[in-house]
Parts: sequence; C-alpha cells; structure tokens
Amino acid sequence: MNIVLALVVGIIYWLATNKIWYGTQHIVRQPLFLAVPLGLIMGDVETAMKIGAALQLIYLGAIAPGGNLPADEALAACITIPVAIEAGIDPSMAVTIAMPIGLLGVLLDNLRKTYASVWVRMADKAAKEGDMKKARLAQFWYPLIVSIPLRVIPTTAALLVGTTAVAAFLNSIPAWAINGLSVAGGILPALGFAVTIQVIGKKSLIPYFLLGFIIFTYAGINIISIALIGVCLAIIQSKFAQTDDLPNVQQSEGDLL
Amino acid sequence: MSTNKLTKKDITKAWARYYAGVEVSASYERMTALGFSNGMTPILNKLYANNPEELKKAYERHLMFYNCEATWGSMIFGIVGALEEERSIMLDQGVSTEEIDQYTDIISNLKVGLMGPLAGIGDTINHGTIRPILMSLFIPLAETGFWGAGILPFAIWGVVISALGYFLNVKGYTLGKDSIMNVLQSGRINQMINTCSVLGLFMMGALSASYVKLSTIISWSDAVGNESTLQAVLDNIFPNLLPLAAVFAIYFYIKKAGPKYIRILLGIIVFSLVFAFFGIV
Repeated sequence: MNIVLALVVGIIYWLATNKIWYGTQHIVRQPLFLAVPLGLIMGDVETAMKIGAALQLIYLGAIAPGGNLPADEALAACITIPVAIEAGIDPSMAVTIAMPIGLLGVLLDNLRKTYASVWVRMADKAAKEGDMKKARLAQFWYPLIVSIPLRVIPTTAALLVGTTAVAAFLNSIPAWAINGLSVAGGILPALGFAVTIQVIGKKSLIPYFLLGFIIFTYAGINIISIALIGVCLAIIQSKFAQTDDLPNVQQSEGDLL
Repeated sequence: MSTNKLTKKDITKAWARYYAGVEVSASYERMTALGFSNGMTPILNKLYANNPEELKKAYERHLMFYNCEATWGSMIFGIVGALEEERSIMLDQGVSTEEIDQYTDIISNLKVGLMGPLAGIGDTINHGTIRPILMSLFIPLAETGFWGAGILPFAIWGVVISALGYFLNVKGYTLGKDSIMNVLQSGRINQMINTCSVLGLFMMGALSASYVKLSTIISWSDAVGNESTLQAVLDNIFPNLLPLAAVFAIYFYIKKAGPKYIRILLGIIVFSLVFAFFGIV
C-alpha cells in the first residue's frame, strides 16, 4: 500500500479514537461507520460496507464498562477493511484477521490511559497555581496532540509493511497466545465492573449485584426486562431504607470510596 | 435560593465543554476527573471571580477521582453546577465557615455517590441496549453494500444521545437549584443515592453475566473412556461461576491493594497467556 494512503488510514483511526464529543465518540469507532471513509479512500465502498457488516456483527456487544475497552473494533476495522479490499479477501475471512488486531488495539488504549498520569500531575499543579488556562492544556490539548503519533504510527506502519506481512506476522503468533489474548478480552470487562461496584461502594447492597448476575445467568431474558426488575427492586429498597437510613446524611456516606 | 449567578447559556456552554472532551484526558489514575474539571472551569471562574482562594480550592475539588458514563453523568454535571452556585451565594452572604465546609462535603459526596449508579444505568441503557439494537438494525442494509448503513446510525445516535446529555444536564441543574436543598435537609439524598445504587448494582450484575467470559477446557477420560470436562462440573454448580469469580477477585484486590489498574490489567493479560499456554482456558 502506498504511504499516502496508509497515512490517511492512520489519521482516520486517530479521528475515530480521539474521543472528541462524547455523543459521537462511540459511534465513529464502529466498523459499520468506518467502512464509509475507508471504502471511499480505497475506492470500493460496496465491498467495504460488506466487510464492515461482518466485523460489526462480532463487535456488536463490545461495550466498555467503566471506560475499559474489551476489544478495539476501530483498529480492527482500519487494518482489516483496507487490507481485505486490496488483497481481495472475502468478508468472512477478514473477520479472522480482525480478531487479534482488535485485541492488540486494546494495548494502545491502555498505554494512553497509563501515560495520562502525566496530564494529571500537570493539571494538579496548574490548579494549585490557579492557572486554568495551563490546566486546560493538560485536560484537553496535550492528550489530544500526543494521541496523534500513538494512533497514526502503528496503523500506518502495519499497512505499509503490507497485507502479506501482517498476515504472516499474525500467523506466526502461536495459537495459545491468540487464545490467551482472546481470553484476556473476555476477562477485561470484569475490571470495569469491579471498578464500578467499588465506586458505588455500598457493601450492604452487593446482594443486588449477585441477584442481577444470577437472574441473567439463568433466565437470560433480554436486558430491558431485567432493567424493569431492577427498577422494582430499587423502589422496594427505597421504601425499606426510609426507616433505616434517615437520621444522619454525612455519617453513612463514610464508606463511599 | 432564588438568586442566579449563572445564566442558562453559562450552564450549556460549560456542559458542551465537558461533553466535548470528557474522555480525551482519561487516565487510570483519575479516570475522567480532568474532563469533568475542564468543563467546570468556566462556571467556577464566574462564581468565585472575586475570591481567588476559594477559586483555587474549587479547581482542586473537581480534580478528584471521577468516573461516570458521560451522557447520564451530564446530570451530575448539572447538579454540581447548581450546588457550586448555591455555595458561592452562601459565601457572599457570609454564612459561617463550618456550615460552608459541611456543604462542601455534601457536593463531593454527592458526586461520588451518584457517579457509580448513573454509570451503571448509562452503560446498560445506552451502550448495552440502544447501541447494539441500533447497529444490528443497519447490518442487513450494510450487507447489500449501501453506504447509508454507516452514516444513518451515526446521525441518529449522534443527535439522540447528544440531546439526551443536554437534557439531563439542564434537568440536573434545575433539580440542583429547586429541590436539592430540601432533599439534602430532609436526608432523602441518601435514599436517592441508595435507590440509584440498587438499580446500578443490579444492572451491573446482569451486564457482568452477559459480558465477562471465562471458561476452562480441562477435560479427562474415566476408566471406560467417557470424556468429562471440568466446565460441565462447574456448570452443574453455577453456570457463570468463573466470570463471577473473576469480577470478585478483581473487586477484592482493588479493595485491598487500592486502585492499581495497570497492575490488574497486566495481571489479567499474563494470567490469560499463562493459562492458555498450559491449556487450562
């Protein structure tokens, strides 16, 4: 693939993952949406949409509880769609290339949130000095700019070394390692849930978590009916809590974190 | 109570600033605290314009750990804006330091108390339900190769979700202005947080069961050659035993060792690779 094209795809991947505007950040990273710009620059929107549909199917339920990504569907789309169009790979085959790429993409996001501690230090310091113009750099501009090389370089490099090399590299990863990464992808959401339980922080309410878990496990009913059961439970709880929790606001908030 | 230092425009502009970059600076250390404080800055600037010391303290107050689904979290953003406004008015009126401190604690506690439950609700409804349904509606259309199947869900989601965030922020602000003082004084705020917590935890439980995946492939043959798997044995006890164990193992680790997310993350990856290598998972 030529370097200009590879660079443009890298930039598309950055645009899909730079998290600007929360109301669209989750949709611009979906394979179904990315298929449109990727198809346009590769000159074959129709094929791109078909591959996008196949990819979308496997990432349909990939939510990021507590903000922790289980699989990076955007990187999977940005590598797989151009590569598959160029090499003429059919959509169902493309899905098998996508899986390991999606898992490797998680590492990029983890890296981003790890080095972000630097921005935390800077914002703390600026707030102490009362200089929020400086803080805004750390709260918004620096992370945005630093994410450009983070997202563009690996994507462009992967596309430049080419279809065959990427496929060969992925084939050279032993089966147990691919399996291991996909197992990790299955466990990672647990981190998000554990953090959220932690943040809600009321130990006495943990049975409600178990109840939700058990009902879903055995009944497997759709999530809307489960939400309705949850609303009922919340109302019942609030009726009982009236007598227990009333007296002191401050005191009972002590164990929140 | 009735005085307003903030205009509707202030509220909306601050919200837009929060909503535009809430996850840009997300970190494992403070999650989306920097995004929240970034949005709060213009409000604080206006409220504490004549009090540089209080302004600095307010900046630092909103840099504390914060993590919530940002659309539903818009409600918290609105409530906090209203509470900070009340606080600055109390300062102007010369209310006693003790009372102000108490009120400040309430702002922080309320933030922490609501972010978990609302994250649970937002993750479940927006990301666990609406988005998968929306996307799956357009997959058949995409399979025909039509480009609109990519643009339409983007347009629908973008408009609906942004509007929801806007609405929840305004709602949160009004709630904060009109009723939160009454709610706070009557002690009902605890009850409100409790109710949200129950719903949030319950939904988190259901979502965990559906999203966390872990099973073992250990198997053995008995004397007559019947193949048995450990997973089948576990399933007889409780089908999702391993995913449940994974969630609570991490939960108790955080409880004990603190929020060392990077270590946990690497731990999960190493655990998975090692167990996969030995053919256990």
